[in-house]
Amino acid sequence: MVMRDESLTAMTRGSVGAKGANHASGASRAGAAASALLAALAAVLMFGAIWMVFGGYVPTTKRQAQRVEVGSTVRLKDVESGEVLTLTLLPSGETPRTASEISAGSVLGQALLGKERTTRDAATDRAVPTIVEGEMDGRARRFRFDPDAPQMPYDKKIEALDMPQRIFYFHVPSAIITFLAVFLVGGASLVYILTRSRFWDRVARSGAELGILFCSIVLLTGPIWAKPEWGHYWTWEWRLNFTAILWLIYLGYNLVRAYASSAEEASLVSAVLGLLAVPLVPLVYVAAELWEGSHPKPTLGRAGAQHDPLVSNGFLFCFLTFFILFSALLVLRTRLLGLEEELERLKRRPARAERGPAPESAR
Amino acid sequence: MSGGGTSRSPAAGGSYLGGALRIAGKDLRLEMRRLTGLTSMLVLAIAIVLAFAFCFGLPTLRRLGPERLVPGVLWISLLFSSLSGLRGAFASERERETLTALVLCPIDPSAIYLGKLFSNLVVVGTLEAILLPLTAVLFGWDLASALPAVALVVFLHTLGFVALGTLFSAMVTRLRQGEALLAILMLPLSVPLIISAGKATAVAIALAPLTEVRFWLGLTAAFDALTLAASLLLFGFLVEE
Repeated sequence: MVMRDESLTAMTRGSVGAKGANHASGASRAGAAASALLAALAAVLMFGAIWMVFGGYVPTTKRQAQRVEVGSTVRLKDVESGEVLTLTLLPSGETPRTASEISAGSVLGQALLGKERTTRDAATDRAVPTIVEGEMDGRARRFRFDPDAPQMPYDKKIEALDMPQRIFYFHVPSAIITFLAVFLVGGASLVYILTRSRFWDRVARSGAELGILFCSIVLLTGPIWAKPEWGHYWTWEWRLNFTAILWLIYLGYNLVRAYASSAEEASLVSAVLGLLAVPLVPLVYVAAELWEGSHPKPTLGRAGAQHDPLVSNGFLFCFLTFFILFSALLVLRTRLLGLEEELERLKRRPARAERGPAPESAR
Repeated sequence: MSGGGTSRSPAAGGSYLGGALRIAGKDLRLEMRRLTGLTSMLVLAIAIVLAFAFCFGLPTLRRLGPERLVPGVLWISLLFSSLSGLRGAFASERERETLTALVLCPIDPSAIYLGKLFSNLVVVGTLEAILLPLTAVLFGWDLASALPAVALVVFLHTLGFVALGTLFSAMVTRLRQGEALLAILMLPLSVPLIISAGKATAVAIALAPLTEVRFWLGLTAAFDALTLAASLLLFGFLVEE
């Protein structure tokens, strides 16, 4: 046991000593520093994203639909006369061309902007249409948001939805990153096939490991949102099918890596699989999308166009966060794989003669 | 990119296609000696069909009718029995280590793939020729009138599945417990085929014109072409040492 430790230490010291000193300096140290920096940046950004989303600094999309903003169409009912008007809010620079358009800079526009269509009546805990006081045609008028238009009940359901809905700030970026990983793995596999460079094989392997990680995040966060919103955890909608199949493909890739008996075989087979997955994945996408037929589709995308810059910026920030996180993990994992391969190579080197015969136990 | 086989000259009396057919012939002769592959596939397929029939139960079977029932039952049993059969396709090469000998032959490596593909197609085709009449009898649909349409649909989808399966069985044959991996690798990528097969077979069994599913048939044809092209290109890369 002691002999084994000594000879191992002697072996590594001997080999790392002269030639190995180079490994610990220069490019390797710069690479280590860069990856540490990237990881730190990813951690800071992720903390910021969580704080931003759960601290309520970004509006949730459900509330978005309630609020009047530039571009919204509102139905107002005059409180005294009962006249119903349908108006579209234009940006303050534009002049309205028809009677059903008003500028956001006008008195009525200013009064409407930012108002929620329904307000919570504390007594009944139900939604009541908001009353707006504004000016139109030169005289002051009071409007109520048309009570006969479909309203969203302002009740505990909406409040309950706010929390799960925030998951979208993490769910959608993860999905985008997963698709990015597919192309990364395909590209790296192609380069490996053409050049047989170990580096690209490591990149493909890291990409696939991260791909299954982010795909798992997508598949786990999706049902958490879906259950309060739609009442079910899963449905056979094409986006869900496609993501599940993608997950299985990545799982297969990682299992191939795990079950291979030698590194060369693993790289070979995985590269073919990674490359094959790239043209077939769009086919699966097309087939899965067309499969569902005319069943009503719940859309996972953002509800309508986002006029609120807070929401768009929120999404952008979270996407940036996840991108940096993916890059940091990719760099770290690739480096780790490289170091592991280096270690294996060093272990397999025969011991040098002056240290005496290498004992069999030094393996 | 095809694995360096283009520089080899054809053997005496052999061309690209000839080489492929010889490999196919060798495999089929091996198979016909003891029919182990075909019988195990057939037994599994029949077991799956019967299990479906028992699980669903008579009232459900009556209510669903053959147009809804047969596509699912038929393709699931075909899928899984083909998977078990494809495993065997390369198993003999691995056991007797004849794959190296094959690669050393003066033919393009993709011809090996084609030969394997032919022999697999023949075996799976035989299985289907037995299974289709069986489901016609058991679930009560008219095979005779639907034959041209059903034959086309089944052939198109089987070609795609076996093409993919031959490539993947070459891939997993060198891995530990590769047989277990074959299903999990193949099924996600075969999803377009599975969806299309279900739709097209339902239309064919109902004796409706196939133009109703021409989009899906087109998709399957594209899938087949893509898989064949990719397999021919990548197979040489896989088997070269």
